[in-house]
Amino acid sequence: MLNRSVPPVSHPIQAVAFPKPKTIELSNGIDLHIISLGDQEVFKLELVFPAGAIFANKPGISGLTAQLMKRGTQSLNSFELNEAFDFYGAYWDISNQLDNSTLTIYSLCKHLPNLLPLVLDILENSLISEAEFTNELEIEVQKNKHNWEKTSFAANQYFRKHLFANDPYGRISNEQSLRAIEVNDLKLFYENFWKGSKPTIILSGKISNKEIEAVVKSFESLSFKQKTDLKTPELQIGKDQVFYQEKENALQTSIRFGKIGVQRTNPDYFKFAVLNTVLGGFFGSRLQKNIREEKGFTYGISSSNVALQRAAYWIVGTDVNKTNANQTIEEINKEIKKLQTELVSEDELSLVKNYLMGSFVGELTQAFEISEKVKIICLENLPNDFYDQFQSQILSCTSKDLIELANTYWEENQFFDIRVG
Amino acid sequence: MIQFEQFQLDNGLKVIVHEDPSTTLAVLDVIYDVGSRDEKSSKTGFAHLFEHLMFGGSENIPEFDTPLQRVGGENNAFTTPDLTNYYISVPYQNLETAFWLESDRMKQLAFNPQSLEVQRKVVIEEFKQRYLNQPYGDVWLKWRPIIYKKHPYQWPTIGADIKHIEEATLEDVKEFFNTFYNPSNAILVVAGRVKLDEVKVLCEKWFAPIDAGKKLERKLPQEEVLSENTFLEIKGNVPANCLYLAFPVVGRYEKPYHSIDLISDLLGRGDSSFLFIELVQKLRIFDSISAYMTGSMDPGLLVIQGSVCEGITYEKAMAELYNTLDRFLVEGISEKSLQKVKNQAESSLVFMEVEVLNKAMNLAIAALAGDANGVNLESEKINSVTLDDIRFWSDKLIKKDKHHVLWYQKNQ
Repeated sequence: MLNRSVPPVSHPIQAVAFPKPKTIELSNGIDLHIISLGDQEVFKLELVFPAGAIFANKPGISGLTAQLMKRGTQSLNSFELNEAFDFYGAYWDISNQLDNSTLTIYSLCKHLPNLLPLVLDILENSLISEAEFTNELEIEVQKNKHNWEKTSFAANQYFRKHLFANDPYGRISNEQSLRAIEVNDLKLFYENFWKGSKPTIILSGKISNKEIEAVVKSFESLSFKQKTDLKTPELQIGKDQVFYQEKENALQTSIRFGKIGVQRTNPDYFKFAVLNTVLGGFFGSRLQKNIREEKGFTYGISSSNVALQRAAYWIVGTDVNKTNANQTIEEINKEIKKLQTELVSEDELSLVKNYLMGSFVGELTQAFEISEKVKIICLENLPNDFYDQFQSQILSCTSKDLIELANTYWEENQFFDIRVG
Repeated sequence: MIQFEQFQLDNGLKVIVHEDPSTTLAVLDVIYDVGSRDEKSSKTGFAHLFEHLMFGGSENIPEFDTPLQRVGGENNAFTTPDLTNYYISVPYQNLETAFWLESDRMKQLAFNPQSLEVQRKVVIEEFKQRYLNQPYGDVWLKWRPIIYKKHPYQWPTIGADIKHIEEATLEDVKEFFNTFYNPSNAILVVAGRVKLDEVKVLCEKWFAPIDAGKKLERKLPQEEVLSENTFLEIKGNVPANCLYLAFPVVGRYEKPYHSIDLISDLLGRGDSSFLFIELVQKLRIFDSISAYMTGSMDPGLLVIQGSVCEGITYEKAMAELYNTLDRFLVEGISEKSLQKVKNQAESSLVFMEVEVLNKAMNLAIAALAGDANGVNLESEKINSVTLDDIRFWSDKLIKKDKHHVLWYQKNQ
């Protein structure tokens, strides 16, 4: 008779060597990183430019520039450009983050040669016309209004604004700030930060020499001004740590609770990831168990350490029934306190380590996921063995390490408590 | 092309195995042939509430998630109007843990009263978060009962009313489990770095001893053909006026589905689609517009939804949209645009095969619909659609007097 109460024999998860990308330096100095893996004839091509939101002099410029770059070049109007990408079955986007802007394109390998000229055209000859600008601005204003209606969006924005205060990382956009943008702001941003700077290129998927040659040939022709280092101000932390915005008709309160986090260049980064996972980083975390599984206050609660290039922030996010908001904050504080005063049991620690190792190792079987990690290493100038260190540090992490980190990084009076709803 | 083998256990459980040695993961996917369409109208939201309860422990294993996390695995589940799907992904060495966990909850759930109380609250918060506390979140909650007069698609998976969740009893839960959660009503897919022989052994060990249960025959009332348009107006705290049209179409596995799916792509997939170019870019009537299929197994909908520009009246937006739909057959289709949407569809299919978990789920859903190999026939079906098919079905379906209209108006 099968005894179902005894779990089957299981095997510990061993570290896996992080796959090294192949790197080629193009004749114009651009680095091309290649990760080839998998059976499907697909690729992802990413071009990352140091053209993040923080480099523009007003909020919203980098985002609108990215949007306008999809709306036509000197030779192809918006329809023709988009139709061409669609015709070759490509998913593509130009997105902007705080530090960078990225042009990403996925499609089948057989279409790559037809897609590259389009990418090049956008990088060299974007039109950014007055008429398209007027359209896109209206659309952006509508999207922005829509987003501000959501308590979760509003709370995220206010969190960043309060934490980073006057730093460009703390800028948020609304209808008023968007309407202050002029088409020339975008043209200037495109000239300076897209055409003016050197991208990092990452090509992943099932990549053969044919694909590599095509990519090299295309982007070798890019010319750009070799720039001195971009100047960014000294980071400032805000002082207003508490912010509540009532929303009469909201059914839930969106809570964002956190502080400055741990950057990847900090040696504590790895073990802090373990600590964060214990508290709120996965479905079995203490917060999820307490707030969702025991109290039923929310559909979900999680914490994360968001690493940017000049800073990092650590944040707990959840949407709860209005009446439970205070108690939720109390419970978050209690869980933090517990991690500062009581050792995590060996049992719980080994579970968290296995979970982290399992999901990490799982991500290394897929080219697109590896490319995300390679991108981080390149953009932040991390050592090539960063993700090997990550694994060995997870495996060697002790309960004593965690209690120390909890006391170092979660000092009581440093938290920002932002609530909307 | 996804290679697979299939066999059936004596208790009726269908098993599909896809070996993919390129990954270090193993995936175990179980689909139960039950969705919100199988609920009683007085007890809606049950299939989904039940999905939550499946994580509350089983007869021999008090907690579902913990032992899985301990061996490096992850899992989740989702419920649709048609089905409920549970999936586990785990380092391949620890595949047996997934068998142990998944088979025990198929055999006998714990029916823990505490778990019911908590999950009831969690689902109510989910209801609020997804349907009530979002601009336009309640569209389908309010529109489904207008569109479906007879078919149980008239309520969303979360349920018609929070009350049904609030009033659910442990007895209801047990009855639901006994009716739907058994081997003859399920399909198991095992994929990734696994071997057919090994899977056979594990299936015999963990799933074969479970009682077969009864396979239910589904008899759902079908909708009558729409004789005239329906109209619904909602007012709410939303940032912009939105307009929705829904045209009744065939189910996901009926023959002309792919032709109609390509029509929806031509109309409203992406920034080169006909409606987008005409109504967002040229005429500036809408700030955004898209078209998509609900893709349900029983007859579903082709939906067009758009956000109307400020200063444009509903009447004007409707008139321009109808006018543009009229022009679609003449101006919107060509050999080139058809090839474009076929290429997009081909890309989607190939990308679906990149992740082993997606492959497993798609095999499971196809098997539920009657033939696991259906996943491998999609590409051919899409490619065989002709311009004449597009013309025929556009003409037949996009009728001005046989669809549903919804205006979602912002409070002044």
